Amino acid sequence: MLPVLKQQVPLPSGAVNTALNPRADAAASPRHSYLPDFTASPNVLVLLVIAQTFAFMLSLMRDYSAGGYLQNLGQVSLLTLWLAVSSAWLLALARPLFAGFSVALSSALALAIVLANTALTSEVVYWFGQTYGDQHLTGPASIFPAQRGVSLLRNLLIALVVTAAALRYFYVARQWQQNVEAAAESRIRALEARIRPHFLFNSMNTIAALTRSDPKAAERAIEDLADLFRASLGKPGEPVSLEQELDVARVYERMEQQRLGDRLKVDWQIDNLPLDMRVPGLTIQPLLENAIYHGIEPLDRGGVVTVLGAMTDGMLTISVTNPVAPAGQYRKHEGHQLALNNIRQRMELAYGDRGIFEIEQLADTFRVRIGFPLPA
Amino acid sequence: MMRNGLHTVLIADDEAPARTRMREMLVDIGGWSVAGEAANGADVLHQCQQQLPDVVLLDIRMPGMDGLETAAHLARLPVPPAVVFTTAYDEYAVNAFDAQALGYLLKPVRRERLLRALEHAARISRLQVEALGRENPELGARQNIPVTKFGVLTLVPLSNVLAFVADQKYVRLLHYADGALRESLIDEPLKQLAAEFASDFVRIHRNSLVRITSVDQLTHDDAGHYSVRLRGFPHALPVSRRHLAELRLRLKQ
Repeated sequence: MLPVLKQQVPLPSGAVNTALNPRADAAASPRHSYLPDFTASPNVLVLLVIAQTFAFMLSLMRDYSAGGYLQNLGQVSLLTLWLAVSSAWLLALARPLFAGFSVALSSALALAIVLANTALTSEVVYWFGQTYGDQHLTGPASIFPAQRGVSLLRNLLIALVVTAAALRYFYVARQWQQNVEAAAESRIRALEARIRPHFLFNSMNTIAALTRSDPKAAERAIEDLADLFRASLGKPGEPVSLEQELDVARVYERMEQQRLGDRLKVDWQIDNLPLDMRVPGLTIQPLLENAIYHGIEPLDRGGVVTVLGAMTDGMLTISVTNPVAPAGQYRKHEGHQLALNNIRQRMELAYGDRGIFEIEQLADTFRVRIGFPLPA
Repeated sequence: MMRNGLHTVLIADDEAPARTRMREMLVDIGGWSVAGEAANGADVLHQCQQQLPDVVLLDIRMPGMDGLETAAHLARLPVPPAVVFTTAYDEYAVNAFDAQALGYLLKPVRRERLLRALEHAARISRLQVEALGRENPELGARQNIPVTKFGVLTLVPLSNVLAFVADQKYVRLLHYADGALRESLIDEPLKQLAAEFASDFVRIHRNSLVRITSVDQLTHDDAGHYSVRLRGFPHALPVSRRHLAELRLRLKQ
């Protein structure tokens, strides 16, 4: 047999790509430390306000029976503000180093930087007090210490407690922000996965035709369409049972059957699956939609879409296979990747790297396989 | 062509319910006669040659050859019908039509809109369809060559074509079909074919046009006559001196 011109469909690079590499996108941009960027202007103001409040607290805790409150407040404020600003500046300088460090390591490093800064500052303060200290500076309410060691230890302990509390706060705030972002993203992705407009308008046209020729079929088609849109417009991102998701896919198949007639056949091989297992909604139906839109519709005589469900190694896998029209026979319609990327992203959001999303493209078939890990 | 004093319409859609609906609406409107129904592009071409309809209601998304390419073929017919595109939802195509002010109907089609489109159909001339192809080459370019053998029209995908060789009155199309090399006659001027498929084919002689990627080797005999061998084709094709330079250039690219 002679080779058919240009028909050896070039396999796209990485034809079989196992694509649930969790942080593939994130790896490109450096992972940010949970520490905020202290050089951003709102952060600087907040830092100054907090430091000054803390200085008030510290100076209120003293005994002023001998007077000197204002002197102490001034000195404590000066010391606290200096420590806060200089530590923040040092942390901002060191911030690029923190990228990629674990939380424990970057916390320890931040703590070390602040403590070293505190120790150095305390030494300078002690030296200043010793050199220039007069009655005025070193009264009973003064921060200039008489004994070097006690003062140093006291300053370090205060810095330790305050810094540890601040780090804990930053960490929790960051976690909370990430959770909010992840929830928002999964909701957006789920919205994108909704049934596509071409399907709605095609279905409406089919129903318009059936209304006269077969009113009963038209009635059923409207009920089916209502069910589909109820599933599609329902709570985005909520998990549903496998049974519900398969039902949606079957109703979808019934609608397309009305339109495409004999050209569409779907071979369901889905026995013995855990029907009450929870899966992200609209993951299986879009695979079927994709297979019909890009696989069956461009074929003159249509073909068979195979939906195969299996339980292997603590994993529920669903694969959807469709025939592909020979190259050159039809115009390529883009948008293929869009729907598939959406499913891949949602599988990642739901399961991280525990899920499966694979695309296998051969000369005459196209197959997508997704895997849902069983709950532990 | 008028039939019993009525204008004739060909309905082209790959979905049976869509064709049924269009037929029923044409009956409701009255004044139009349905010349036939077609489910794919090749069928549309074939029926247009047989029935000579006045208007074709042409679905854009059809298997094999889509509505846009079908329209490009229709525009080359000796008696081209007016074309009204129909589509359920096709952002890109609809945008292209907006730019061209070509007629299209959105499905489900309203009776009034269908009537208006049919009445205006005559204004969508062949020139406008050709302009659509010129300005959006990816929309209107032919991906298939229609071949009529014993009154049956088949489409040869362009990617299966090895060469066009002019032979007195006709052009011989060398192409693969079912894995074997075939030869078919087509009735299109070589000059137009050369212009239309210039990106994939190169002129090697006054009478022949070959697929650039199929050229296996360029040889010359003692007398200095050049010829090319095509992959999978047993005979050498002569290269004229006039086209030698361009062939060499294209082979290098």
